[in-house]
Formats: sequence, structure tokens, C-alpha cells
Amino acid sequence: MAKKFKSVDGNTAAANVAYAYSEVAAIYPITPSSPMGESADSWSAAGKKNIFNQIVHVQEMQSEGGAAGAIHGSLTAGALTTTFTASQGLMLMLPNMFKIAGELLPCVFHVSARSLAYQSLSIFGDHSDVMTARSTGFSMLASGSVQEAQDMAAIAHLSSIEARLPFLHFFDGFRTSHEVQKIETIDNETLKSMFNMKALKDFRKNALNPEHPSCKVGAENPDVYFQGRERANKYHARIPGIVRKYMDLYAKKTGRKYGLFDYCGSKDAEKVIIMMGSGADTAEEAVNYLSENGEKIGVLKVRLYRPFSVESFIGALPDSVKKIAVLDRTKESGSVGEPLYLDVVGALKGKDITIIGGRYGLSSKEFTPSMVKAVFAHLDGKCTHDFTVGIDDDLSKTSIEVKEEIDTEQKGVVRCKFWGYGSDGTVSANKNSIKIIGDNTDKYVQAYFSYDSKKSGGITVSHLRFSDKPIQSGYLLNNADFIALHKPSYIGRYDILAGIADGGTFLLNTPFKGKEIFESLTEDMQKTIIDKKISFYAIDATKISKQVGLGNRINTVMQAAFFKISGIIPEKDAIKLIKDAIEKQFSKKGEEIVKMNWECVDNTVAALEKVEIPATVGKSVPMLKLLPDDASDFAKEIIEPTMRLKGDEIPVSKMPLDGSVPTATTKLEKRGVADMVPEWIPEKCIQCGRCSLVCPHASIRIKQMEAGDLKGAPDTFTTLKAMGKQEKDMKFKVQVYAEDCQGCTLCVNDCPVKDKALKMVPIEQAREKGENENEKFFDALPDNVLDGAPEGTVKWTQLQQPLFEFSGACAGCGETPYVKLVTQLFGRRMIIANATGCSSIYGGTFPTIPYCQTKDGKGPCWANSLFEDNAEYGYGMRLALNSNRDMLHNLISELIADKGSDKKIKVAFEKIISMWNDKTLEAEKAADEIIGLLPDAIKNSDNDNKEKLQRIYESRDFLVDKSVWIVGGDGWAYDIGYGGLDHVLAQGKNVNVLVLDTEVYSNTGGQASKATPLGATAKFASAGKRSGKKNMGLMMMTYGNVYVASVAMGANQNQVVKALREAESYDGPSIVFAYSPCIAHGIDMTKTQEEEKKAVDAGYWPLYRYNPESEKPLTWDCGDAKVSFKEFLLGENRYRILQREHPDDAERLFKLAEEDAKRRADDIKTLIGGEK
Amino acid sequence: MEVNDHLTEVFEFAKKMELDGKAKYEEELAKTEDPGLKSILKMLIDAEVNHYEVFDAMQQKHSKEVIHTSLKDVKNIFQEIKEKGEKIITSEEHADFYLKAKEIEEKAEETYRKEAQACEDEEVKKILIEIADEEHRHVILMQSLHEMVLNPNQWVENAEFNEINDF
Repeated sequence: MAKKFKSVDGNTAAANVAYAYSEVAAIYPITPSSPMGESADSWSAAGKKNIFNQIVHVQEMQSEGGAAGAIHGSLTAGALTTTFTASQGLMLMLPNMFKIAGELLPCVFHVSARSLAYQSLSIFGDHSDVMTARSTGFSMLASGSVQEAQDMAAIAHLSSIEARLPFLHFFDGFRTSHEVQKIETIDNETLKSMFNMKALKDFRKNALNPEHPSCKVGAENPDVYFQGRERANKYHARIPGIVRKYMDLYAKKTGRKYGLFDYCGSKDAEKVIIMMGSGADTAEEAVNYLSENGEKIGVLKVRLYRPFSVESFIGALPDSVKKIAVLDRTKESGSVGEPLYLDVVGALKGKDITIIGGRYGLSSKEFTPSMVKAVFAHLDGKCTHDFTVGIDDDLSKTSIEVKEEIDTEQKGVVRCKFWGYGSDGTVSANKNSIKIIGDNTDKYVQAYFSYDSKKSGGITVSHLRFSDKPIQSGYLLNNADFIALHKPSYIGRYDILAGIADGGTFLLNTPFKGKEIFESLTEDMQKTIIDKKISFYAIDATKISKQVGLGNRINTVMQAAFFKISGIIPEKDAIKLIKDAIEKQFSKKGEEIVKMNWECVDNTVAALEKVEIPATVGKSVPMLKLLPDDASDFAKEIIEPTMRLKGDEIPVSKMPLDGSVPTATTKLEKRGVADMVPEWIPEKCIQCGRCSLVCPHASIRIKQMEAGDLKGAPDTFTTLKAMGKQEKDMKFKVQVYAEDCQGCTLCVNDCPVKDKALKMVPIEQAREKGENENEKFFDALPDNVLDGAPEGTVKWTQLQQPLFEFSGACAGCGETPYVKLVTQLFGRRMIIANATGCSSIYGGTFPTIPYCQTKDGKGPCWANSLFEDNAEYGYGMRLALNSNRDMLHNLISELIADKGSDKKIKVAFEKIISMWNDKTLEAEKAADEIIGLLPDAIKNSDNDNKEKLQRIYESRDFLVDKSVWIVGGDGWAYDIGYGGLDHVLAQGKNVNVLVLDTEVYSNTGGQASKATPLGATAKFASAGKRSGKKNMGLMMMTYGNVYVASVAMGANQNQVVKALREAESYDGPSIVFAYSPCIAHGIDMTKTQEEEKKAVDAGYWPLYRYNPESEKPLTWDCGDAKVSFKEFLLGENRYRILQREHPDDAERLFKLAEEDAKRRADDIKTLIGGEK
Repeated sequence: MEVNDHLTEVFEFAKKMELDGKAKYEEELAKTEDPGLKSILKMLIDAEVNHYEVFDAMQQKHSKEVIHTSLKDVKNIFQEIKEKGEKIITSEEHADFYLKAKEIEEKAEETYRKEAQACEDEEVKKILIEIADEEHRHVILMQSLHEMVLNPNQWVENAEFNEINDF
């Protein structure tokens, strides 16, 4: 049989096998495993068959806990079932996993192993999650590469059915799950040929079936439970033999041989590293390199981790070994060592071998051959246990030094690095290049992509390797033969040419020509280019793209340039391949698009300029200064290195002890990522404040100021006479924060002035006009000058300081204008519990925080617990506040009642008690008065009251109540957190819930939730969602004491303000559903506010407020549909896709969706509003 | 009305719309200095010519058939644009331009579908639908181009996003 190769990532490789061997998949999205579920869902929708010639039933559940329950049920009823998960998701599955194992139910959970949330969440890879599952009774099989992710997936499924026991197959999150490699694929026929059909029959026979009744026992008492627990020992003991059998069979079928433990290195090795996962391949590469110099070393790769076969383990180790370093990719605080270390120590008990354990690679921290060398050196040197490698632990002194950098990569490998911008398609282009070269030539390929955590304008770095031999190097490029910089503004900010090889190639996208190109580099870059004799090419990709009518799409240009000059394949072949790929990719969209892209390629080839390199460095650009001189130590020691992508160099001692970081730090970033920013046209402005309201990043603001405050203003600081009835001579200004703007144009599009009081201009123009100096002056002016602005109006809200600014949310984000508005209204006293999701990523990612502070140091405080528990987390905050305030209330009441109390403070106490639930500035003043009086009162009081006064002083922050906000997306509120949210709202306590409803799981890339409407396509609903959106507002209204509102800023801004103020002032639970357009909808993100209006006008999204305190609680805030529902749907790609791919189904579903939306509205109106 | 007049009515309408479109785009081409817009306009002009030829070929194929429609009373989209004095190029943003072009193509498609629905003659209905389908292909093209040129401002390449669609 001819070998078939394909370039895929680890998730796809594993999912393909899981799909082939399964009949049911119960799934839930979690990074980095989500793509496995997405693939399974899309294959199912496309009718792909498993080895039994059936389409797999793929079902998204409400949480991983739900998925595990469904798997348990499906297995119990006799269907081969699988799932895909990671991290906290696996934690939620643990209870079921014990049951599944205890009931001898065969299945495979595929886990892209990821860090657990500890001091913070991290989406990246290590073994913290899978190690918590080692006591479940699941067998555990580890993969270390993309090829292995496929192969071990198969071995896990094959072994599981025969052994009658469940398997957990895991591979490293991101490093393997997201790495693209050219692998040898396996087809369904081969997979089927290895499958034990008799075992399948037995499995089905054991299933619950009323035709042959049986009972899965529910409970056992102390007399028998213990014996029952020991009953299946034999089954577990058989596992190593069964896995070995299938490894051998697999080798026979595919030629790839694996063992339970695989040793690589010298036969007479004295020092051995033991580890599992992708790091083991890196260790093997290093061992091979170091062994060439005669070192007696080796690495033992652990594949079957549970059950741990001592016999096989000892058999795989060379007899000569004297020292072992066990490397764990996890940390178990308080243990004598990490889990793999403990197993090794236990297995080698009594042998004269020195064994030490160390930690590496937590949260995808790089693990390189140089670190492997350092570990061997450590075995030779201090040889201390409990060491770390890859970090600088200057505090506990656990880290070992990496003294020497070694280059262990095979000869002939071509290494290419690309610096891209989060929206410019660099990653997509590179994935495409890898597939073109991998699938059309004999070359082996590998690609890995690193990102920062900004959704909008983030940095991407693509690491690509090409070779004639298989590639083992599971780490980022330290050295590169080719470096491309797609975003010229990175020059001076990052070390772009770090690691470029002598004689390497540098490709720059730049608008400059001739000698200006070289002059646009930093001196360091120039020196590197001269010293290393770099071939330097330049191309104006934007110009070429624009010339053919493709706007700013530079990716085709940059890809063509890479193909032409990288020399990986001959130029002529390269150009043909790229053109063929373009035809394949775009022919469905129209031959015109194919031709435009071909033209791009031809123009690139013609325009590519080889830059002349001078003999010495000359005129250059300076390194950018990222922080002001007076920045805090935290900013200098933490934020700056992170901003320069040097976070790996931050030592342990500089990290926050408990995960707490200062707020108000995004303002330090000044990312300057927008090409175009708004410019205010004062003479046209009507001072409405709408531009400020809709800005997702608080990059355009309004203020009123007294004329006297303008003393010292920059010359270009233009103001208008403020409109409204002010007593003083007030001025008004709209200020643009150009360096913080994302260029989304929402402010311009939402400006109500016919010919617009704002226009977009190049950011350079804004800089030249002094906008940055104006911004500094504006920022220093007094905030919240509200004179003449009627309370509750949009303008009134926008004259208040936003306490949420410059987040990393997408340009045009539909969520953040609501978050910002809430902080403007209540930010001084807000405490926020935030569910995991987009709002937690842009709201609380280390180290820069967008929540900020007033000039007197007040502002929102923010925390995130998990995804599923956010309502309970926020509720706990409410309970703590109530507890503290109750204590305070009691103390104050006792002192008021005490005749001996100081009269002055007694009056102040009576005042605060009379306004106990008041949260206004008046209440703050009353509290301040008490705080001012307390020191003297304490000093002058007798012993008994002294202590009470002292306690009041210590608790003075609670004199005014706080505003508790529980914030999250629809995935949390409608699905995983629903049970908790429902319970919290039912308690009647004063908490405010803001649901940022994007109708999908936005943060994980757009999977369907129960908020996704009928007919919408989403990941996990690629054939269009078949069930309607949950009418959650109605459900909450049935409690009768919950304030409920549904809002859409773009449709009715005043209603949003009204709803939020009512919700907060309501002395009980409130929930506000805020319609939040998202990039996952496939809409023009410069028009998200218009889209919200269309949604309301079409009857797609309702506006209402349900206030239990009102005589008539329900207020319906929108009229009947004014525009076509279907037309609205077809304006969004999530619906258009369905129409394009399944037109007949689309018609039917769209009709049903319209009926469903109407029914939901009617249900509220009739059941709650009493309409008939 | 004579049979031969009916025969040509629907195709003449379609062909005239393509010619009017071509003329309008040529007029815009003469006005713009932007090389990208020039390129797009040339593509649209070529497309209008291509469409004209497609409809002409369809007319030849169906030359023996009798066509009854009310299209002769309908104004084509380009006539409307001309009468209203509307601009096709509202900005130099390629995305805006493709959106406008898409709206034009959609209106053309809608016109033919509406006629097809009202038409009682099955053969004519079939032809009108064929023409509408051809216009629809152009709607898709413009839609795709609109989405493609929006991507550089809106695409998210992020660790948590697994892009299923092409950039």
C-alpha cells in the first residue's frame, strides 16, 4: 500500500482516529482541545463515515461535566463514545471518569494537556491536568509529536475495547495540538483491520438493555465496597500486555514501532533523563547530538504512564545507568516530588541509582536541547532534587543554569520565521505554505505559531521548518535562515533579527524605497545585516495588494515573496505551486478572485527589491521608548519586558505573590496599531457624546472644562463652548487617544451629524497635529464635570471618566462599550466577578489591566475564578460585603444607643445609618465625615467604645456599600454557569449580572451555545443550529423579584443607560442581557452598532425592562419589526454560510428562526406582560 | 404584441442592463485616480461584458421560444442610479466599493426573480431564473471580495481561535 502523507496539526491527527473508532462524541469547547471537537462536528455534518460506515453522532453539551455524563450514559447503553478536552474541562469530568473506569466501560478521552488555573489561568500546555486524572482508573497513553498523536490515538482505542477499560490519550497542548507536521496518515480500512470486533460484540452485550434486564449498582455499604474496589485488578494488570500487542500490530501495519517505554541514546549510558510528551523528542534530539561526542547519556520516553509497568520500565533502561533525572511538566506543591518522579523512585526501589526530579515547560514554557544539556550537566554537578529548568528562580534557587546554547538541528533543515500582525493573515498564509510544500513535494514540514493575548492587533510569530528528513525539533526557532517582517512598525520594539543565520535572508514589508529602506532599520538590525552578510529584500505589499483591488490583504504578496526568495523549492516550481494553490482555494468564489490573486503573485515577483547593503551602519531609527521615565517598578520590571516579548527573562522574585497586579496599566502600552484614527471636526460637533459611548476601547472621550483649566494647553488643543445650561463658562472637547485607538471607525459611523463631526486620518497625521500632547493635557483635566448635562442622558454618562480603557478586545468589539459604560456609571465602587471568556482575557490578562482608577484612587476591582462558577463567585463577594457591613451596622447602632458616645460622631453615625443603602457621592461624603472624626473619637473614648470605634475604623471601607457585578458571556450564563446563576438570582440578594451575549462562545473561536439562535452556523453547529435560543430573560422573570433587561446599544442608547441604572439601583438581583456583535458573526466590525439596530428593527433582538418594583413591571422598549428578518440574517456570514451551502434547509430554518424570535417576544409579552 | 418582440424582451432588458452597467463603470473609471479602484472597475467592466455575452448566447439558444414578461416597463438598476444621481464610488475603501457593487447585483437578481415568480409561462420562468442565477454568481463574487478585503482589519489570529474559514 502506498504511503500517504498530509500536513496536519496534532488535534486533527488525533480527532481523525477518534472519529473513525467512535459512534458518539459528546463535546464541549475548551482551548486547546476545541479544534478536535470542531473537526468531528464538521465531519459529521459533511457525512464522513467511521470504520463502521456510520456518521458519528456529535453532541455539544452544556459543560465538560455534562459531556462526561453523556459519555457515561452512551457507553452504558452500548455506543462507542469519545470526547476531547483539556485543563479545567478534564477537572469537571473527573467524577464521571472514576465511574466509567469502575464500570469497565471502554472509551478514549483525547486530551490536549494544558495548565490548570492556579495563580491565574493559562491556556498553554503542561501535564497539570492529566496528572490529576492518574487515580481515576483510566489508562494513560502519552504522545510526543503530531505523528504520535495519530498513532497513539489508534493504539488507545484498539487497546481500550479489548481491555474493557477506558483510556486517556494525551499530548502537549499547543506544542503538539497546534503544531503542523507532515505525517503519514492512516486510512479507515487499516484502522478497521486492527479493531477487535469480538470485543465490540461483548461491549454491546454488556450494555443496559430491557430485553436482558440488569442493574448498575447504585450503592454499596462498608461490608462490600472495599472488596468490590479490588475486583477488577486483573483487568488493569492486563493493560500493558494489550497495549504492547497493539503497538506491535500497529508496527506491522504501518512500520512505526512503539514500546511502552522507548529508550534512545548510548547503550552504556550512565545518565538518563526520563520524561513524556513533546519534550522527550527534544531530549532525544539533544541526546543524539551530545552522544556524537561520546557522552554516555540517554532519554527514556514514557508512553504508557498508567498503569505503570515496572517490568517494562526496568527492561527499557540500560543496566549501566547510575544517575537519573526525571522531568515532570507539572508541579505538585508539598509533595516529595512530582508524579512521574514518584513512579520512577517507586519502580527502582532498592537499586543503586541516584534519582532526582525536576520541573520544566509549565504553560508551554520553552524546553530546548540546551536545557537538556543543562540537566545532564546538573546530574554531573550539584545533582540536587526538586530543580527547575527554563526559568530564573532567584527566590527559591531551584533553577539550574543553562550555560551553553547548542544547535542540535539536523543539517539541511531550512528555518523560517515570520513576524505578523494578528489580523493580517500571516498565520493563515503560513499554514497554507506549509500545506502547499508539504503536500506537493517530498519535503518534511513543521509549523508552530506563537501569539500574544491581544485579540485585536496582536503579534504573531510563525516558526516554520522544512527538511528532507522528518523533523523532531519540538521547540521554537532559535536560529533562522529566513526572517520576514510583515508589520514594519515592529522595528524598534522587538528584536526582529535575533538568531538569523550567517548568510540568511531578511524580507521586509515596507513603503520605503531605495536607501530609505536600510535607514528605516535600527542600528542593531543594520549591524546584524552587515556582519552576517544577510540578503535583504523589500516589498511594498500593501501597495501591490491595493493595486489589484484587494485592499490591505498583504498575505498573498508576502507569501509569494517568501516562495520566490527562500530557496526551499526552485523559484519556477514555487510560483507554479502557489498559483495552483490560489486556484484551488479561490475558484469556488469566482475566477475573478483567482486572477486578482495571480496578479498579486506576478506583481510581487516583479516588484521584489534586493536592498543594497552599505559597508557600515548609517542613518537609522532608534529603539522605541516604551515607558515614561516615571513608570513604576512593576511597569519597568514586568510590563516592559513583556511588551518587548522578553517575558521569559522575568525572574521568579518579580512575579506577584498571589496573582494580584495593579490596575490602570493598559495606558502604558500605547500600541499605536491603527493605521487610521479619528479626527474631531469641532465646527460640526453637536456635543452628544455618542462617539465616546460606542468606542470599544475608550480611545475617544469627551470632557467639559472651565475656561481657567485651559491655562497651559497645547496650541492645537481646540475646544468648543459647551452646550447646555451651565452656570459657568464651560468648554467642551472631544479627545482622540490615537496611540490607543484600534481604528474601528465605530465613532465615525455612529456620529449622528449628517456629514460627520469625525473623520478618519492616518495616525501619522494625528501625531503631527499634536494629538498625543493634547491627550496628555486632556487626561490631566478634572473628570466628571457634568454641569448642564441632564442626569441619565448619554452625554451625562460620557462626561464621566471611563474606568475601563484600552483593552485588547477586537476592533469594533460589541461587548466592551457596555463594560465601559458600567464603569462610568458605577466604577468608583464596583467589585467585579468575571467568568472566563473574552471579557476575562481582555479584562485581566497579565500584566496590563484595562480597569483603571479615578484621580482620587478609586475604581473597579476585578477577579476571575473559573468559567462555570462565576455567579457563585460574585455571590460570595456579596455575602462577604454583607457580612462586613452587618458587623459595621451593629457596631454603629450600639454606639448610637450608647449615651456616652461622642455627640459629634453620633450625629455622623445617625446620618450614615439613615442612608445605609445609599451608594451616591452623598453617602461617600457622609462616610468621609465619619472617617475624619474617628481618629479623635478613638483617642478620646473609654475602653469599651474605643475598641468598637477602632473596629469601625478598620472596616471604614464598608461604610458605603459596593456594587457587585457578575460579568460573563452567553456560554457561561446560558450553558456552563446556568445552574449557579439561576441559584444566585433566586436568593434575592443585591447582585448585578451583565450577560455579554454574542450568541456563541466567542473566546474559544465561536462555538454554539444555547444563546445561539436557530439556523445560525457556528462551530459545533456547522450545519446550522437546530434548536432555538433559550428565553432566559423570561425564565428569570418568573422569579418575580429579579430585575431583567434586554438591551442593544446601537438600537437605543438611552434604554441601555436606563436599564443599567435601574438594575444597579434595584435592591435585589438584576440581570441585563446585552446584545454584543462579534467577529464570529461574520459581519463588518466597523458597523457593529448599526448591526445592533438592524437586529432590533428586524425583531431579532428584543428591548425590554422588567422591574419588579414598578406597578407595571414589564416595559417593552421596541416596536414591531420594521425590516425584513431574513434580510437581517443574510447580512451576517453565520447565516449566509447556511444559505450558500444548504439553500433549501436555510429557507426552512430561517423561517423557523423568525417564528422562534417572535414566539420568544410574545411569550414575554403575554406571560409576563399580561398582553392577550 | 408580435411574437418576435416578446422573444427579445427579456434578453434585451438583461443585455441593456449589462451595457448600462459597463457604461456606468467606465464613467467611474475615467474619474478615479486610485489604481486599486481602477483595477476593480476594469474587472467589473470585463464582468459586464462577459455577462452581456452570456445573455446573448442564452438568447440565441432560446431564439425559438416565445417570451412574455413585463420587464419592458421595469427600470434597470443603472438607470435608477443615473436618475437618482447616486455615486458608486463613495470612498476609496475597496470594501465599500464591493459592498455597493454587491447591492447593485442583488437588485438585478431580485428583479429577475420577482419577474420569474410573476411569470406564468414555464419556459420564460426558467430563462429568468437562469439569468437570476448568473446575477447571483456575481453577488457571491462581490460578497466574497467584500469579506476578503475586510479581513485585514477584522481577522483574528489568536491562540484560542481555530480559523476554519480561509483568510
